[in-house]
Amino acid sequence: MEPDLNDLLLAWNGAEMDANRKTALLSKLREDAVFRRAFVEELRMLGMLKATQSAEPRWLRLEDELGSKPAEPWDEEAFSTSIMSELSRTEPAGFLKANRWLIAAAVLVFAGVAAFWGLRLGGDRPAAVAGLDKTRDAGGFAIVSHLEGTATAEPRGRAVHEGDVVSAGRFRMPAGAATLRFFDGAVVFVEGEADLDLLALDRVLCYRGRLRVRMEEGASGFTVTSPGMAVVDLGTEFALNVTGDGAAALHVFDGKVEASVLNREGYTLRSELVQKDESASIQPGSGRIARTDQPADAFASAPTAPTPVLRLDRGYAVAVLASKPWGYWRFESLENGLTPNEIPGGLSLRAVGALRLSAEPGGNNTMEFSRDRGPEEGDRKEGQYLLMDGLWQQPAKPGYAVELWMMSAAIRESALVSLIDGSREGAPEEHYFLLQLMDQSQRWLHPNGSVRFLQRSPPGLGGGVNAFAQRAYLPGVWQHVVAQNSGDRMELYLNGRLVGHAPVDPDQAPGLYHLLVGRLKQSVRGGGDATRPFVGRMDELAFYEHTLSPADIASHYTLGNPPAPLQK
Amino acid sequence: MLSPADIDSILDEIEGGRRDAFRWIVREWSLSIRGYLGSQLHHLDAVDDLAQEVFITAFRSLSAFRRGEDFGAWLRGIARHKLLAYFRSSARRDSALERFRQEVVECVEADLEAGASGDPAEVMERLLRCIAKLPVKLRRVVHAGLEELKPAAMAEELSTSVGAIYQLHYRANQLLRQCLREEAS
Repeated sequence: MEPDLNDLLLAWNGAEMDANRKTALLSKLREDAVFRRAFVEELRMLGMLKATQSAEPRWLRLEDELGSKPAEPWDEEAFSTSIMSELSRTEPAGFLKANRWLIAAAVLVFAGVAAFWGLRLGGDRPAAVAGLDKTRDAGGFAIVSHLEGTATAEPRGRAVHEGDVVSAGRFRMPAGAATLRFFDGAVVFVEGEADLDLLALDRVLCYRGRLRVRMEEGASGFTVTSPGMAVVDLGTEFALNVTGDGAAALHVFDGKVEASVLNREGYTLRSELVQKDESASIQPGSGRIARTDQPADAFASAPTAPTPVLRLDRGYAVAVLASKPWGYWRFESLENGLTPNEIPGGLSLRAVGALRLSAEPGGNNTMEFSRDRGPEEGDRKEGQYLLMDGLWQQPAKPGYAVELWMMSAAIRESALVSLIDGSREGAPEEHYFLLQLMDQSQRWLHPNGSVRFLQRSPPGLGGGVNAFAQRAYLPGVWQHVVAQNSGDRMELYLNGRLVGHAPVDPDQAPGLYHLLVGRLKQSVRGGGDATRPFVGRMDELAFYEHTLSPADIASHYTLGNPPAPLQK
Repeated sequence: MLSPADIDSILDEIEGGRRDAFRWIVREWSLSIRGYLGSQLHHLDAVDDLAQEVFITAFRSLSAFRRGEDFGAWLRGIARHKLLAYFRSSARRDSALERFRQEVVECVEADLEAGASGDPAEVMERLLRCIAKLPVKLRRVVHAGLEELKPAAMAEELSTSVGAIYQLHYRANQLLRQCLREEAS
């Protein structure tokens, strides 16, 4: 490489360099067209590789601008027409041309050049996060799952968007409505004008605004305070209207709460238990808590969002099959308790409990793990999960990958997929592999609302190596997850992007495993929470005896997010 | 590649209230806009954020687009303005490195624009084929970045020096460019 070009690239990438040398390089760049062209060629190549280094980013603000994708009914005919129209315009360059986006994503594999130059030549991005997705969503108290209007939050009063994680500090909304899903299980619906101070995972200070708090099953203790008063939930759903003068109106929709007037030190002076369907007024000034007949509709509503549709491109299954899975369960049928494997001769998944298929517009079915029929209620003894109708014999060659689409109903600790030692019948269920959703960081240190990929080799009841996603998953949104182990490295992908990885020791010996879906283990010992039941929907579960390339992962994700069909 | 008629059809849909049709625009140009921005910005985070801004601005300004003209060039024009604003923002003006980059970008802006036209998807196809043709050693070097292998470790693996690894990268880029030209012809 010509020395001046080498130096210019080094300087461009942030390497320390004498100011005079930089000035000289700039002069040459202005005056020497050949030199300039050579540099531009390098930049273009790096830009091209950088652009394909990751999957299409999830642009939440743009999504906002364009409206929710699933809002429109699926127009299969229009889709078919538009695809055929696309193909008819395509020159017969074959598969490559027709699948250019798939192909474009495939260049991911080779994006090392961009990463290499960008990270090694003095760039200020720490090597420890090289290749990882943005980390701005990591940690925090709550995720903004819905927002109408504008809102600002710490730090520095930044604008908040759907999908953002908000942390300690003020959250202000001049108007509109927002849903904050706290990582400890509380869902807080906010109606503006609102001025809140997020104090902790389970505590909000409300200066003004209309709030409605709903606790996820099993969660309790969420506290809303305002100057001079507090409401502590006792496993319930309640609403609070706080006005600027400090007075508050309370209504309990379900369960009960403890309402308190506080003393100067901020401790309870007087308190009242307020029950379901009761309203009360809390007046810190006079120290009174009085029952009122204020109707429920005077309080904030809890909007029910339409269930998002998983709209798969028709090429999705083809792309997955082209990646040669060992098992591929599309959840299109459930007969005699079995959902078939798309791989000829492959093992089916047996549905245990009250699982059912949910028909999505456009003809795609998904597997529904319902809260109402979960192990905490009707099927307490049995629970609901999928178990492979046979065992997976791990081959001698290392490497595997698990891929699926999932939409969790809530932020809660729940198991997606497990591989459990099947070599000893009747023995405790020892995990070799576990993919699960997390809520708040408790037993392990990880970003709140993370995805966990656990590997235990040999299988065991504890220990192992973890890779946690550095960004939160969104409840109520279809998301693409891949967890894979190449033999010496674990990788976790969320929506086409690498969000966590860890080195791992090679397997000691190939094993024999049960594949369990939607629950930590078959045994109910320890109760419902110990089984970490998944509540939500899953689709397109694929299991590979090899890892997927970043390009394959990105293209699979992209094929699960096709634009809505043009109505031609 | 979307034809002018396709673009007209998409614009008609959007004007008819079907905002969702803009996703076709995003699908068609997101790679090229990200590539264009990626050639001038260091961090992928900034590239993605700015690219989103470009599409939001484009969506809000669709009425300003004159039908029949080059939509990609129009988008890149928006991207240029966003880049300029990015470089001019006070936080970045304070950084000597960003000032240097801004000066570099101003020097090469026209050359970059000239090279950005055409069908990016076709270029990607060719690039894919070209990477497959790289000698094993160069492909390994290209892969190494994605695998987060440090240059020192890479150098050890290939029994060479760290400096030579950088040269191999440049050589890989050269071969890729040469191959892209040959494939195009």
